[in-house]
Amino acid sequence: MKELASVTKKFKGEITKKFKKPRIWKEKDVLNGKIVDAFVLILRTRGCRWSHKGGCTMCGYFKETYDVKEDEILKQIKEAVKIYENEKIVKIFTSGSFLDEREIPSHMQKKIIESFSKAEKIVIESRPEFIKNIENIKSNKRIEIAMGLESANDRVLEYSINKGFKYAEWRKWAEKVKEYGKELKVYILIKPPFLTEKDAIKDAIKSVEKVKDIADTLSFNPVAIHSRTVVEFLWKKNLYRPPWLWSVVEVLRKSSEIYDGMIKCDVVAGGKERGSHNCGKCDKDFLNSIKNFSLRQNVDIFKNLECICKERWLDLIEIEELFKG
Amino acid sequence: MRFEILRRDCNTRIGNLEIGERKIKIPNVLWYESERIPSPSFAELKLGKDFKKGGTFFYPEACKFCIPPALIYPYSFPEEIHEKSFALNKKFFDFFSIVSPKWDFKKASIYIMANAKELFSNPRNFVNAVAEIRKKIGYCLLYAPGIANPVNFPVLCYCGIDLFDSLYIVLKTREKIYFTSEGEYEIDEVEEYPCSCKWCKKGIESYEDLLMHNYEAMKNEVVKTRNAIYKNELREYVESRSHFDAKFASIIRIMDTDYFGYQEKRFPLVGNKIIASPYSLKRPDINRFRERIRGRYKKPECTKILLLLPCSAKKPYSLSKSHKIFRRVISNCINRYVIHEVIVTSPIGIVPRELEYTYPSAHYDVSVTGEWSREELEMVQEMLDDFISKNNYEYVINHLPPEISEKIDIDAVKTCIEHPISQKSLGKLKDEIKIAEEFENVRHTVRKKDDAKSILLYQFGEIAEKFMEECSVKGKYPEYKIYYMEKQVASFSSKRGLFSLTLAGGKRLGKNYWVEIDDFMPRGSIFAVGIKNADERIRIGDEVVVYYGEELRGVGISKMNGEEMVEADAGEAVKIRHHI
Repeated sequence: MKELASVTKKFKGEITKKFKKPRIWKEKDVLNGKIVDAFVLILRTRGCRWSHKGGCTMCGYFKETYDVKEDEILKQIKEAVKIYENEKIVKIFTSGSFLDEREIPSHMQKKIIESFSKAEKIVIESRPEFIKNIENIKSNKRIEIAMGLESANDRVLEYSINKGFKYAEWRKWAEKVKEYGKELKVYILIKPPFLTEKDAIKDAIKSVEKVKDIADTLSFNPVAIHSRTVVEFLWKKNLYRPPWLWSVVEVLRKSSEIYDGMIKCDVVAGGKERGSHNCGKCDKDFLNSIKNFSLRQNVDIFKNLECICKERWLDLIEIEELFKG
Repeated sequence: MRFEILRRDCNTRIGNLEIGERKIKIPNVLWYESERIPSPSFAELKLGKDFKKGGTFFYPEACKFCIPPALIYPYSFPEEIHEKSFALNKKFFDFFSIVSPKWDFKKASIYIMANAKELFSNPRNFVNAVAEIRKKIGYCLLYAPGIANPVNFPVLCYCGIDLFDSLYIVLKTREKIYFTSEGEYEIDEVEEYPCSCKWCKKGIESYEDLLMHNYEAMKNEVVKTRNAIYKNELREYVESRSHFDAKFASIIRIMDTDYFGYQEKRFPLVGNKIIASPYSLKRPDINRFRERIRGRYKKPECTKILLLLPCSAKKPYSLSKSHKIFRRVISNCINRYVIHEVIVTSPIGIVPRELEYTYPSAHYDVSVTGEWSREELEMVQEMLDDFISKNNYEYVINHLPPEISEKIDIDAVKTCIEHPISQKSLGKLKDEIKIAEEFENVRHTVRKKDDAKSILLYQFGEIAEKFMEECSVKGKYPEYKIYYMEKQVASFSSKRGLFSLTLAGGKRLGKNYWVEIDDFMPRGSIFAVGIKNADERIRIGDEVVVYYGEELRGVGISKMNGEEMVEADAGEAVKIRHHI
């Protein structure tokens, strides 16, 4: 919605052009059912093309980007390769779309992927409109393309997130990913703005229903408060609260009932005011369980979670929709 | 559904809402009920049962009598985005319609205020939103979701909201909050329960106990507020609440300063006793009195000498000891009727003698300590400057005590030394008013006629001049009766402080304070449904004339203001006194 886009744009303010070093870290992930090391590279590019037009209401990743020159991208790769220690999984993210030639020129895309020759699996991210460039990365390597769907409800996409596409368009390109023999990871947002806690759970589950036939991995992202976003504005005005961890667990539990593939959930700023949290007393237990579940896929982990704050969460589930703004 | 208003006070009212067989008093609370959350046994309207949840814009579950789904962006978002969301929302509105100053509105039976919680966090935005919404929905039912509690209930009613819910209490109870009319307390920190409800007596041990007590506290507040409306005491009740939350004080102040028009229209013309507080200076009904003195009123034409007198605790002033003494001095003066007595007082400002029965002149109690605040002094100074400049007196005598006299600046002869009724002061007054002898003699009958005209100017505005042409006044004040060609046209009601009209008087008033009805013979009461049009100057309690076309059909007292008469289709609009 253009009216919502103009609001998201307003909150972004001036985007800095200052040089930033790439971010690199290592983490645990799952490959063929085994827990392995993964290498994560956040490549600096000029950032998400959609974000430049306003972007999504919850996304603050534009702050990770700057006006990168072509030669600087290769420099970043060289630096990363030095740190790379043959981790089996390599994730190359750009705070945008890897396949967007304005972020990474077409001729470089394949080159970058091949720089990590020891990797068994490469993960990249892209918005659907750039999947058409998938030919650029024709390779025998196992490649997973992560596509943000956030919600399969067109109203949520348009009036809450300002995602810039409808579900049907996303679906068309997601199928293309499969046709090209790539793996598909689907990002689903938990609690987009203007949704109630109850909506948030329903929305995530309904989205799972719609993509379960096509997704190789589901990755749930509980909304965290990024600075200079619509969501931050709402949060500061006490009009938005990140999802309860109860909701996150509910989503994971129900999803695993209806979906057989990998389910992941990385709770950014978990337990903090700006991230998904409960009452403070039980947050740690919940976060550990969710982390555990992401690696082992066993819902029994959630069975023992109990806290008196559950009643407060249930109250909200019942009555939040009656507040009307 | 039918909504009939029974009583009005401040910006609100009491009424009956008829839904099916049931009759529900307004203002009232929609009590939330579900399997997990009980409602109180006295709940008349249940949210979740009588009015079901209709889901959200993203996941609607629309059904009849449901709280409709809607996409509602924050109040501070740009206008365009709100207009867009209204376009998406309106299809859900039917029995209920969600209203916002930011968007167009769709007609419905009950209106729900959008962004109520966000707005209520900022008094200025909140008051502005209520007033703007009222502009759109007029006198229909307005529900503000999610904000009411026993502390803010009277203030919210005062602003003009009719329906509330228990949602805020439900959420707070889970946080172990114990409510009283004065505030929210953590239950573990309450030493003794200041309440004798069943649950407090027993001792609060569970969530349900606390919830039930909080419901009781809310119900009591609803009843107290309704009683205050019945007795025309809501303003005092709300002022007293201002001590418990600075936000309430802000709401009162902002409404008085910036929403005089909104309030003045709604405040009845005649009211109950006012217990004066610092807020009273800007009370809409007191301010209205001042506005009329400034705008409509003219001194009795024949008077030439202005005599400023202090007020008295007893009302009307002339029944007080001090004023009886003043009047004795004046009555001994030859040509006494050339003297115009005007009382200087707070919080009203100035009260011409002939208006001393007129609300609120005879209806306020103020703590008299002899100390005047800066605001009071400024107000009095401003009123006097305006009054003296507009009314051409030839001589001004100031008999105000030093504590006020020394602080105001007027060109007058001072007669008060130390105390207004001291022998010295009275002697000086007696000497000074001898000046009256130098003016052309004013006869009592002439003065009575001019007094009556001044009162009518206050009551009806400039038509009073024409009304009084060739009239005479009989009787002793306040028992004035006005005659035209030997026929009584009006009589002063000391209880109302206004003139009541006869049919002949109604004719003389012409098309002023008029109500136009359909073709029927008014008897007893006229209901809003029969009214085609009405003078927008009409206030609750005004004397009005009833016309069918050009034919005068009756005179009576208005029960609603002119705007509401035109808009409403239920409720008594005019109580008829005389009809053809």
